[in-house]
Amino acid sequence: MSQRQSFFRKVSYFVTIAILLVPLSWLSRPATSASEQQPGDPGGHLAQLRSEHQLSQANLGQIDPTSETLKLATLGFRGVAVAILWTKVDEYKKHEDWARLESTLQQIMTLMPNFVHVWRYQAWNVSYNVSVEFDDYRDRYHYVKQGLKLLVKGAAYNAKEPNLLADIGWFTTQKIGRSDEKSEFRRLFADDTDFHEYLSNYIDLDQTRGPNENKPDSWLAGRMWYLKAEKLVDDNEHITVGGVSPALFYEHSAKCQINFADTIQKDGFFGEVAERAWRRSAKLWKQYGDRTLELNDGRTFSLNDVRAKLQEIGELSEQLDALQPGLRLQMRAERTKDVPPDLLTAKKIKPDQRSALERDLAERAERLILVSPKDLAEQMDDSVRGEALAIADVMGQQARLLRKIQSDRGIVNYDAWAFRCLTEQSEHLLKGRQRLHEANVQYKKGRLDSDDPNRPGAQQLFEAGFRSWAAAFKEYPALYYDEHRCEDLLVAVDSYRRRVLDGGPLPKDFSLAELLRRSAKEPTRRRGSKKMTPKTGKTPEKTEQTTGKDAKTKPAKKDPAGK
Amino acid sequence: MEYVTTPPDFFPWLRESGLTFLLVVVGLAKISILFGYLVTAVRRGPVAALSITSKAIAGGVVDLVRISPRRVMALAWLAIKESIGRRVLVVFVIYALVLMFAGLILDPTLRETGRLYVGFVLNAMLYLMLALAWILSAFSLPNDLKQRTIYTIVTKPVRPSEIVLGRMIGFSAVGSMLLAVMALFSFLFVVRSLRHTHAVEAGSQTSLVTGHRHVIDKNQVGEEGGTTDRAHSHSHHVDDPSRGEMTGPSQGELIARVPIHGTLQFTDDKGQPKEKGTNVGKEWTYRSYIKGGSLAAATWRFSDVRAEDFCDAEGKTDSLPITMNLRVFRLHKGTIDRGVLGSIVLRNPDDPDLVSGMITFRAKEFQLDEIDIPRHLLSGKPGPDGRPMRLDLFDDLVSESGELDVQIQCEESQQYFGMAQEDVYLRSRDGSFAMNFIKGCLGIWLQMVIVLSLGVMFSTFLSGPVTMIATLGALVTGMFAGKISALVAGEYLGGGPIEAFVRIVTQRNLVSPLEVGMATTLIEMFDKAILFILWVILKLLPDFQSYSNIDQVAIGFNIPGMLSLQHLLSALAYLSVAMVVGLFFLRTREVAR
Repeated sequence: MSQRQSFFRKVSYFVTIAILLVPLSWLSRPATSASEQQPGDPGGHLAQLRSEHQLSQANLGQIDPTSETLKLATLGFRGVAVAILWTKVDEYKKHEDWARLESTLQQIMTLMPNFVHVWRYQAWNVSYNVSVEFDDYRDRYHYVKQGLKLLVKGAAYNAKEPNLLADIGWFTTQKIGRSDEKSEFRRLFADDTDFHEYLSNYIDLDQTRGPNENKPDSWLAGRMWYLKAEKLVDDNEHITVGGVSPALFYEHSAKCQINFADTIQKDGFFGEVAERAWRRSAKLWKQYGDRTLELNDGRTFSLNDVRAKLQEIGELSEQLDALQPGLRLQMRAERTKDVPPDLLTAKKIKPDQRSALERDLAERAERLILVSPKDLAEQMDDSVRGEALAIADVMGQQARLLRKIQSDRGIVNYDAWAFRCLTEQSEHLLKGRQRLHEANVQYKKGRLDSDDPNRPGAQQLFEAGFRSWAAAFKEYPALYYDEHRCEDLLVAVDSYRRRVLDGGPLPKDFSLAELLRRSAKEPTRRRGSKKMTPKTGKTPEKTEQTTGKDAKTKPAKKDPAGK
Repeated sequence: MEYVTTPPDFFPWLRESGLTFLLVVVGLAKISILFGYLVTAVRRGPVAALSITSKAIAGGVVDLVRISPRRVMALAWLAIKESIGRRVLVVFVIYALVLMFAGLILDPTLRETGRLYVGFVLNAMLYLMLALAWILSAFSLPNDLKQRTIYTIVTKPVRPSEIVLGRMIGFSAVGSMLLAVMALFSFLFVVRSLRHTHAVEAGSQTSLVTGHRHVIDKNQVGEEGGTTDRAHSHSHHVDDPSRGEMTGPSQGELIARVPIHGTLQFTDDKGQPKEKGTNVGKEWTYRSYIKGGSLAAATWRFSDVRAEDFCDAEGKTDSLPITMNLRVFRLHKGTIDRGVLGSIVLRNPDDPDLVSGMITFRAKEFQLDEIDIPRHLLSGKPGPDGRPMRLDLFDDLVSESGELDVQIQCEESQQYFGMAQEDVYLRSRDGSFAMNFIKGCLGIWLQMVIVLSLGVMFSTFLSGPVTMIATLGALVTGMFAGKISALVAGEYLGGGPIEAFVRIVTQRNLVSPLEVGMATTLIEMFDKAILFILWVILKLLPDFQSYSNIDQVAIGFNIPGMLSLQHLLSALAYLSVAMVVGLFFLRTREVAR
């Protein structure tokens, strides 16, 4: 190739590049903001796409010059650098080199500040996995905080990521409030004025103060972070809760208040303080139930919509029946003919007199006889069939929505928590809990028995507490089906028997005899508690299975304390 | 993680290493001469080849023997001027920028800031100096040869050995000057960055500075003053906490501990000697554990224990400082707000009846637990009168040969203590941190000089870019010598390079064996050949990691002077070989004759 050809080839390359730069420049021209004199320009197509998908750095969150510089310094090998650093973090963790681990984590975050999963994963790593490596609980608390701070920093870099805020709420509440060292962690958190000062840059600490000398409480602090996450989603149309169900995403803030109320009682705060906390819990739980939640298809609902939906479906059903009166009955009669006799026999037995097998058979019979709105509409005369099908279609949609609501209520255990908030405000329960707490305190002081009515001993307090609980059971019989609370109470009864009665039998007129009787009937459902017979309070040799009748009337199947 | 390199005894090391060095040098010389003779024999015939080879060897030897220091220095000066002309001072500007913006990367609120800062500056210096050495040495001679400026030198009465040595010395001088300035600035940067004081608040704690505060224990800090607790790896002096003044500057962060290590022996829960303690399921098996509330114990035997090594400023030895860095593994929570109870017993290895009483302690994990064992203590066994005897630690418990046994046990049932040999040591008087920092810089300097020499050596027979690749290859291989030697020793799963490649392509795991057959036999054969070549390369190239004492300086352990001397000698060995090889290769270049 001659020099001339080579020269022309190079020139052609430059010309091609220059020509290609023109459309590229046009496509990617930046947006300009509007001023009083002239309207803003949305920019080129690429700028508009960035804006639409919230991809620009300013949209994602804080712009950090260090981060940007380091990203550039890796010359496009940012991913490789992070991968190497990530393996180093694992190595440092294995070799218990915490100083380097923390330092390397910061380098990773600087290089990849907008990769949300990196923040979430490594914050969890520090708060949950690194912290437990330490023997001293103060060191553990330090690393729980380090993980939290990592998340807070991540939330600043990713200002539109509600799950990071929710994670901060989770760490603050669950790691501090539920771990093995929860009492130590909660005490450290309440006294950690430096951390309070740090948190006050992000949340209103005055709203987190609990009854313990008006110091911030971890449950309430966590609640503030959840509220921030909720506000972020509520205020921004484009921001969604991600892969989490809306019912689960929004439950935490109210749940924090419930856990706060529960915890302060364990910490020894009763009376008006506890009652107020439970009242607020009930109010927030109700507000949560009333909150409008959105499905992926844009339809909205609230957990408290069950009654309204049932009524709506009932009205539609009446409208459908009114189009051709008597058709449904006629169809049911025809279908009844095809139902096997043993199923029909079971169906004829009164519901409350059916055995478990009969109940099953009766339900099968009902399913065979049932006429769905669509079936009904299809069998109607031509003149009304169109309208009937339209109504049946609406009914189908409403029924699906109702099932979704009921499913979500089941997932978050809505009824059980509502029941808990209601009953815990009861004077009997408040007093019952207080007496049992005081009984334990007196026992630890060695004051088992006392004749002084003003300064009762552990025995008097235990018995007074059990009487209050018995009154609460009378006021709310459904409490018998609250496994969690019954179990706690059984532990208290066991403690009373061992500590006060020296392991002897419980008195014949024991106020919680009914609870013990039921406990002996269904001991397998109790988590780790000892099973006692009502008469002796000793472990029974044989147990009975839970009857279907009992199960049917239970308000909830799940342990309310479970997540 | 705490670790420290203990140097081997000097004279045995010198004897063994010197012998190996001589064997390798003689072997390489023989191979080179034979190779040179064969090549020449093919081209000129066997008789002429004999004469040419002899002349080449004789000429090289004469070159070496008749080196003129004056001419070498003149050439070194030329190399210095050339380096400055090539703007090597830019490296210093880059380093200044790194220090200026270090605050953006280094987080002073982390717990071990001293370690992070010292590690950062030393690593930054290391990588910059290695990069400088790499670039500076690779292009000098090839450029001179290419641009024919070498004629301005070779037309003068200089020997090839002087050209090679002059360049090595000249470039090293430039690098040394830069390193010295950088080291000075680094030292000042670290000391000034870490130096801070706190205000005393309410007499019981200090103000919050760089993410931490200190607790002042009033029982320990009276009106006459004392020190705060140790937080973030340092403490402060407080004059009188009730006056609410400022604390003194931070102390105990930039240190150079001088540890005296012993050899560790485990005994199991029945009191029988055991090579290792219990494995509690940790992935990293560096430490093993002893069971609490049993006869299980860890005993360190210390040698050469002398009272004068532990004396105070007045020359008196009232105690023996023992530093521990134990791990705790609990089978149950126990008392959460209290460390697990442990005990120390000191024993004379020669006389089992000379044993101290039990000294108890609460284990502190991930921090240095320093215990001063008083010199005068009661015996653990009754004396002739049935009462405990008064013992002098150094006179009674240290044997005549200077040995002392220190036994540690965990006293709480169902709890465990974890330890490795380096976790317990006697702490002699601390060395100077500044001196230790200089020793750390010496390690960097040695690595830089080796890279420079290798670069100059390669540049005598390779072009500039190829020299760069060859030097970089030697550098990278040397830096990963540990990992490569583990690969050669078969410590990695998945076989050698070819087998690993086959496993990646065929998506097989690392554990399952390949199918028996011709293909597998061939793969293993090639792998063995490659690994043998790697082994030879490893033996010839310097292990750069072994020269680096950065971690030791950063963690706060004194680098023994003997270790620095050993590094210096081994580096000199590489330099001499590089120079001789460079000389012979340069002699083969027509321009240098």
